[in-house]
Amino acid sequence: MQVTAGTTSNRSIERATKSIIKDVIDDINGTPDFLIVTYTPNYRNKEDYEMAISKICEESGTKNIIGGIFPGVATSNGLPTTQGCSVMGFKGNEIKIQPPFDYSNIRINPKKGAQKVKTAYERVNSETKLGFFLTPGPFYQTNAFEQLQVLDTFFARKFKKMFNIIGRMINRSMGKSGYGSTLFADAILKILMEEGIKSALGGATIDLDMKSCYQFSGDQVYRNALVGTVFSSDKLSFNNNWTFDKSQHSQNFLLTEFLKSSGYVQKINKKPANEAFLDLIDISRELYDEAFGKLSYASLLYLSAMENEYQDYVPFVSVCHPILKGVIATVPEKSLYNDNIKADFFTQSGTGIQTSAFECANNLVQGLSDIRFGIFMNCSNRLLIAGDKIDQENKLIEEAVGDDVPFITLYSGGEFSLINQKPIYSAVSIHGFVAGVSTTSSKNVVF
Amino acid sequence: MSCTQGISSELEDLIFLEDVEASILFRIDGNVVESRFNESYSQELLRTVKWCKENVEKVSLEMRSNNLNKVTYELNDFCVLFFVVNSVTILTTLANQNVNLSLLSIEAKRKSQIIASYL
Repeated sequence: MQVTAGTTSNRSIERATKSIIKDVIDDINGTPDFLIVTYTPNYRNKEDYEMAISKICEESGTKNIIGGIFPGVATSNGLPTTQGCSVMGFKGNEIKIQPPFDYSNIRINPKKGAQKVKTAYERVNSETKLGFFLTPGPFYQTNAFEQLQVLDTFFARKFKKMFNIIGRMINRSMGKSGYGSTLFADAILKILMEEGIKSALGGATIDLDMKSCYQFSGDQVYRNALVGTVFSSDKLSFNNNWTFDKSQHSQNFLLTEFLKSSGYVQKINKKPANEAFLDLIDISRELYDEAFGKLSYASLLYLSAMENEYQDYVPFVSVCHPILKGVIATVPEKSLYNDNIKADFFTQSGTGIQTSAFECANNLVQGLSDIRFGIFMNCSNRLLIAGDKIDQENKLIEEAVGDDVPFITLYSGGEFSLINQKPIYSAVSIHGFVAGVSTTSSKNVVF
Repeated sequence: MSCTQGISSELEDLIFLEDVEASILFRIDGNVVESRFNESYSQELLRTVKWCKENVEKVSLEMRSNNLNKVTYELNDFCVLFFVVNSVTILTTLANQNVNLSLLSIEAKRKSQIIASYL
């Protein structure tokens, strides 16, 4: 089996594409079976990405391609880049990769998207299989936060049922225009879990400037689509896992009032959420705006997490915008089941991020030898926290999976997994998947 | 591709990044090996470049004595990022204050390592 991976950087998408074809695609003996193609968002125009993908299809001889744009991309043998592309190519019979599927109305109808994943998953007879899909990420129009001011009113707190519906309508209207968060991925995972699908991995494409958001399937470039495939094998075993930096637990707090449908937290510790949030992290409004204003006011260093029904901590991002009295939290609706929900703060750090990446990769290789390849969905916020130290994180992944094992790391806008039929939708985390030879007597176990 | 062309191309890549105004490869004595500027540069930017030229030796000594690979300064409304390329050259990237420093530093580090391979 041949797996190649490479990263290249260039100001021109044509030159970056030419270089990646030479480095990765030409390295495969013959036509690759499948390609994961990812670009950074700096090239902006949809036409440029269409041209690049079409060139890759032409040169590689295959349309079995999925991918998208991510603020940072990296592979095992290359330095991470924020101005270029990373590609991973597969050829051989140890792994079967289904032709790509896509669904272009995913923000409005996650159910249909989940159906696509399920159909592709059920088409495969192997015991060892994993669905891999990419979705659009958080994308907001400039006045998005003004629309949410209605959720601060007296009526919104008094008539919660009605305003849950209004919140849902706002989300739907934003979704129709191609805006919103990635919470629909949680709905997809829930459907897949109910349908008995055991393993999946995915992430959201994103441009941190919220100027573009593209996904690739075959030779097509989409703006708001789910794109995916299914990996399977009769010879190898798959492991998938996730973690986040929980090394620095600071304090806990209570979500005392919120609107479920829009993840809008009105009160924290019985105080207006915006004010209480800043008090908890002990930062002035001015300092917070200076630090996070460029990042849609999403707190990155102070990550909140709450326990879910599986007793796992699931981290979420809190958006503390100055014009709102509340805080927007990327918490799935089902997690907001009653009032007074306990949440915890974890302070993120560059070294904590590196350690957690190593922990994730190290857990993945347990019970496996001769790792063939790895795919990691890492959070773009972790990329921002680590900055130029991000290459250390990939070195640690390499240390865990083994030298010369090709892997790709995509810095996404929301990561998600189904691990042994358990759905995990999280923020500022790392999710991964590796394929290798099982060292245990029981074959084809998905952990 | 020749060494000079290669270095020029890497510096050119940097100025195509959002909010980056100039990228300069300095020798530690302050001499410019290669540079690239955005088409519309200001007097203010040139003043900042002058400061870099005058201080690069001091900065590089400081970096070497403290074993630093990267140093960032904010002055005259610009962010200045110094990255060690090798023992005699430093990559300097000047960006306006709207720049996302984390993303820029990832690419500047990548470029400094590629430039080192040309030298």
